[in-house]
Amino acid sequence: MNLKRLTTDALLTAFALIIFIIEAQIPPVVPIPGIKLGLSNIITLTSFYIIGKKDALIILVLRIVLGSVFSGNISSLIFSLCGGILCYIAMCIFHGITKEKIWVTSVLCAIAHNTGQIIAAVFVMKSTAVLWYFPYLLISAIITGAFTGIIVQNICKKGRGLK
Amino acid sequence: MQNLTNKKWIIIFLSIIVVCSTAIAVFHILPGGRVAVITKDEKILYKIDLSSVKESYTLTVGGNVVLVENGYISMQSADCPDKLCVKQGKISEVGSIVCLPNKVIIRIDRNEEIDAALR
Repeated sequence: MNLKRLTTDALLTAFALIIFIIEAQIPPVVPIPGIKLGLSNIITLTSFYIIGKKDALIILVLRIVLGSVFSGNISSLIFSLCGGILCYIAMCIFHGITKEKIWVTSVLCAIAHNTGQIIAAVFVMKSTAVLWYFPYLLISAIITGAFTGIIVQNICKKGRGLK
Repeated sequence: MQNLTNKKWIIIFLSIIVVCSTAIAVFHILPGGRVAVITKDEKILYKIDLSSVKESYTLTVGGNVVLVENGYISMQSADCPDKLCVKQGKISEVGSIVCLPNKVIIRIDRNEEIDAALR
């Protein structure tokens, strides 16, 4: 890993972390756990498209681990990690299919992320009661995913120089 | 799948939203008993028939305080940082309130008879 790549990754991780922590301060609009904008996914997706797959994974995992340390919510680490990894897998699968329609990838990622969180919750709580939330989470994933996806699409159009 | 236009993707996602909304609506319309089950750490602590509650009272489950009223149940307070369970308010017919940090679940079970009839 050369110096430029290291610096870019570190910088993007810092960006993602700042966005994550600021977002955590916004009071939840809908009182259902797991529903939020997921703005830090903008950084993950952008780095995936502009810099590379490996870098995106590094940034994603670092952001999740550091994010839960800084926001003081260690208990949510397992949920974020499970969601994040599934989101990354979805990114790898779908980016070849959707091509330049990044917003579609983003929506599919958001759906994968929330599915991962629900699966983690089912295992942690050892109860299927959390499945009640799944339809709500699916709706929110589509809306927030499209929103962040459109942002990423615009960044990628203008930010090719980042590489 | 590669040739799908933006329009087609929007239609796909909108139909998922419609299906989910319908599912939520159906959950809320389904008739059922109102037996609230409170569990902590996977152990059932209380089973309350909400329709037979005369006066409201509170139950303390770990760091959470559960408010039981006639026909409704809600989380009154919690010692977790996000307090999402408290903000969720009352539930009556179906659904559940989950406090992830404290592993407390309030769930409204449907009557077994009605369950059997549906099958």
